[in-house]
Amino acid sequence: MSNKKAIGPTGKILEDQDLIKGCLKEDRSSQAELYKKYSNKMFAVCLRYCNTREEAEDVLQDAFVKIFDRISSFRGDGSLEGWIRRIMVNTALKSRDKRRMKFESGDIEHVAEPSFNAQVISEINKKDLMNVIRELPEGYKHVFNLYAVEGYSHKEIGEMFDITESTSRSQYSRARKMLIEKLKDLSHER
Amino acid sequence: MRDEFEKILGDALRDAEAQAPDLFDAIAARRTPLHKFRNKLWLNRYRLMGAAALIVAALTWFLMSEGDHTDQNGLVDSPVPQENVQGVAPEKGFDASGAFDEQRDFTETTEEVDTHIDDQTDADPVGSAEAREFVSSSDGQIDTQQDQVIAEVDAPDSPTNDDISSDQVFDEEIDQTISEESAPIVSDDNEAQEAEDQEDATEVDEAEIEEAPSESETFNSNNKDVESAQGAEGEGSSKDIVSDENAPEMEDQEVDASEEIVEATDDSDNNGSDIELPTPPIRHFSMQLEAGPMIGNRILNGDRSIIDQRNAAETAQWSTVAGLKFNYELNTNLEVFAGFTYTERKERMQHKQVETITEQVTKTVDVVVIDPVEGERIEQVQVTSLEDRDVVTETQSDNSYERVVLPVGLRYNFFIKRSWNISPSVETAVQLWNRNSGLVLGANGETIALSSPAFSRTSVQARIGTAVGYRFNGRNSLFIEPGYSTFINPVNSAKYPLKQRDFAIDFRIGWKVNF
Repeated sequence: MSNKKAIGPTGKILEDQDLIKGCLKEDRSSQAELYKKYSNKMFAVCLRYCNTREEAEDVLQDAFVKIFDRISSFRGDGSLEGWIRRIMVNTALKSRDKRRMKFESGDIEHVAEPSFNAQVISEINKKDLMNVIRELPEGYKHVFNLYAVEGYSHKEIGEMFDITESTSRSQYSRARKMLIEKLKDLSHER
Repeated sequence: MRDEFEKILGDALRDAEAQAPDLFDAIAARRTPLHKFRNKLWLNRYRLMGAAALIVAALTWFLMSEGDHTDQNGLVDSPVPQENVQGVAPEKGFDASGAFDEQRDFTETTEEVDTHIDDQTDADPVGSAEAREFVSSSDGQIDTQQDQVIAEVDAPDSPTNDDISSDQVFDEEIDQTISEESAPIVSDDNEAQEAEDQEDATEVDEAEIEEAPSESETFNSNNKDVESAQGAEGEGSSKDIVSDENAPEMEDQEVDASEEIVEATDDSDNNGSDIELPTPPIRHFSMQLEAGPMIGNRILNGDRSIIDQRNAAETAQWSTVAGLKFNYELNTNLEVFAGFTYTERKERMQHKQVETITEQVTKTVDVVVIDPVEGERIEQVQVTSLEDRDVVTETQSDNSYERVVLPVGLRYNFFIKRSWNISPSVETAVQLWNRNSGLVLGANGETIALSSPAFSRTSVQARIGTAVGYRFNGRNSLFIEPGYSTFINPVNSAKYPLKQRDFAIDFRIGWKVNF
């Protein structure tokens, strides 16, 4: 759940439930508050999946149109933020031409992974971290984002991209290796 | 398992924020009322089906009400152009004896009278001689009402008019009165006087059409007027005037008039006058109900091993298709249509799976125990061992893929000869509803229920077909239409390892009704 509070026209702090009720009534101020509350966080999600800022803006816009259209289908089983994030990720992935994504198939390679130091990551700010992830090859980036950040399983990722579970694992393994090396380089530059 | 690396990175990135541009106005602008309505409708299939049912109901009502504009005799309720009256008149509900078999609007009658008078003036001045003479000899005893009566009675005398008997219908008695009276009054008035009188009669008639009373009132008043005229001139009522002796004359008059109609029509044709022939009503709308057998199968893409297993296990079965379509004829050859189609593709799945299972087997064996004291003896000992065993699991399922789709398409009549036509058509259809039952094989030979969400994907189909139709009459026709349909997108989502596209060959037989 987001810590950011949406404040309504009367100054009252609006909880997600209030925002949902307002959006269901097509109340423009509630929709604006919902956008204000989640847009920054969701834009960061879009930036992780898209290559350019313009593309991320398009995805953000498309996804919020879908959110306002389909708010009635939110059952309240999970958090509103999780639901919005899922729509955002799906919209971002749909915007990418999956056929152009290259997934090197194969079994999990026992790659000699460079040693990972948690200290390295903590020293890097989130913006640089996001930039490093965005620089990953398309296939690596999506598998990494979906697995490490969004929490999807390799099986689910395989279904999303029509690849096998082992291909997803392999992609992740390579992405992880590449990412650690990049983070180390970034750390050394500092 | 996610390790520390994923945890640290995930936590860092999950809550990351980036300054988003203010796109809310752009988002709101994209959500127009039409967009919202479409989404509300589209996201709820029940609403969509309800809306579709409403459209069909409205269309049916529209088509039915289209049909109601034409009465039993093919007369259009709306005002008819005067030149068309002649063409339509023969269809009106008069029998051979001139009996009036339906209630009609008086205005309609007077319109006909107008036409008759015009016809007389233009085509046959001789035909109205009696009436003209009657008018000229009335000496003011018959008032303007009587003039109207004269105009009405005048009409049957026109040989060019098809409604000769209809005017007699109005007042046989009056007619008789006039014919009796007019006979002795025949004089040799000059043509100028005749024309003037004719004009007077026409003017009076036209003036009275505007404020015409109901038919029965006019009828009664006419009778009264004639009676009063008779009363003024002599004795007896109009009933008395109509003698039995006149009846055969009336019949002769009708027969003669009929013959004259034919002649006059021929003459008119020869003279090139614009008598319009009755044209059949243009029927743009039609509805067709169709049903028939169907045999369908599927194309599978993906892991070859699963495809081979499924191909070995599944056998296509004869299935059914039924539909209701509404057609709109754009021109003689081209039609657009939309409607509903229900299909049920059936197949039988029989699969044998051999599994090797390892079992713990306990056996009793005889062991010879050699005892130095007691000697040899046999004892039974239980021995436990692990053994591999093949287990054959046989699965059989009657699979069914039921769908209701909304087809929209074009039909082209490229061959129309007499009652036969051949019309190829092409259509695309969006799935409105589906229900699957049965089992299919999964990636590891396991069975997956077709009712799972993986197979409830909204699909789009395309179909081509060619109908051979036979038209029985203007409204009804029978047709047979073999066709081939295929799914454009897979029927399953990515949750199932293969991509399955269904196709089918069907043979539809249907009935088409034009409105």
